[in-house]
Amino acid sequence: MAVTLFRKKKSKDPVSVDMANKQKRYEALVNALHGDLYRYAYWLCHSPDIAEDLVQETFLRAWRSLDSLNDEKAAKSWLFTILRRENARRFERKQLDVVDIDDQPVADVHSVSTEQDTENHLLRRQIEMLAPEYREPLILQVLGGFSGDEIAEQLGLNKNTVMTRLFRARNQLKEALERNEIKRGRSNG
Amino acid sequence: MDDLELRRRLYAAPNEQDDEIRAALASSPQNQQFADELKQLDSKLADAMKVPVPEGLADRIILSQSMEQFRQERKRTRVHLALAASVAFAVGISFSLLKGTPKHEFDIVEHALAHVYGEQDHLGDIDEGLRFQQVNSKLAKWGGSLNKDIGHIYFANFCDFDGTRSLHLIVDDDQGQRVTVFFVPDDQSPAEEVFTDGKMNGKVHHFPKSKGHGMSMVVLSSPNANLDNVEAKLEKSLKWESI
Repeated sequence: MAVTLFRKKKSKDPVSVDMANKQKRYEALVNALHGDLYRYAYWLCHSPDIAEDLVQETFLRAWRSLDSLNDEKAAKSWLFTILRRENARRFERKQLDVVDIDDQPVADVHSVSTEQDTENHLLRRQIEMLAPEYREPLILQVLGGFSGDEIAEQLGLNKNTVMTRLFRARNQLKEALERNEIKRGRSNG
Repeated sequence: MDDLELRRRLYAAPNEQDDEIRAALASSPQNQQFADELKQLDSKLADAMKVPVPEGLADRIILSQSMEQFRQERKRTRVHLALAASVAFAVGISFSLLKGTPKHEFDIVEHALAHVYGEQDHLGDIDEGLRFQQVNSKLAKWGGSLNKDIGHIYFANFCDFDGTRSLHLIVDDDQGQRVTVFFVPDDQSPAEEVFTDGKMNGKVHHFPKSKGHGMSMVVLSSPNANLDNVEAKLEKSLKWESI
């Protein structure tokens, strides 16, 4: 009771104003970046549910250390880094049984209606099939919009390695898509 | 820049074109077409990577943050309450402990007299028929003991001397008169003093160290009793352990 009264009296002090500012910054950050962050999470774990959990956990961590974020421009790579660590922690916590998706009968959850959707669906499958060390820089580049230097810094690799992996990732995708074209062409013909 | 290097760089980053690459592309329509194809692939990739974001995710994120903040504040409030409670508890404990230590502010003579008058009704003719050994078991609390017989003892018990636990004795002066003796833990070391109020005569003695504390002894009786005799006996018999 005493504590509540005490608080009410101090509602206009600098600490509360700081808190209100922090809240505003935080909400702006969530609104601007939750989509990119969710998609990044999705491509790391391939599960909508886990991706959402990861994003939630990432933003909670971000809230706790929001004061350490001085440069709003760095916010995106900062959040991406938190999320990547959060994802890594998931594997430290419990070693999940990983199965090869090609060996399992999996229900197709992506709805395929228009031609554009079909193409997206095919591309998604190809992206999923990339080795993680190729996929991750590609996601950061295409989805996150980070430059080669920034990706190198985020992943703790040197830039040449990153560029090589990006090259191989696109190369593999292109080849896979071309193979697919031929296959589709044949079966249609 | 040769074609192989150009292609490698375009593959790695189709949208990061520096002047060198732009110059190389300008000079070769074939390479330009290749670059355009890669850019097209990238925009398709970007589309494909844009998996649908669950509806209301932003709101849920903000909600869970405010829930956590609420939990933390409640925890903090609980900590405050716990702190307040422990402070109150500590204050309470120290008060009762302080009360137990002999640091009273009373006038020992006045209290001794008041005590005797107050209890005259029910102690006036009590006779428990005790010997000095039974007194020793009580005096031991303060490291004191009687080493010689001090004669007949009518009464020996702890009593409350204005909040200080004291020993109340009624002894015989060898002539059938009752003499009251108080042992009161007392760090204030009152002066040795002879007093009288007309109905009672008495003396205050002080022993500086008994188990680390001071001890005052008040001997009092009606004027017709032989106070000196009792005092002499106590003086010979009393020993204090100084710890």
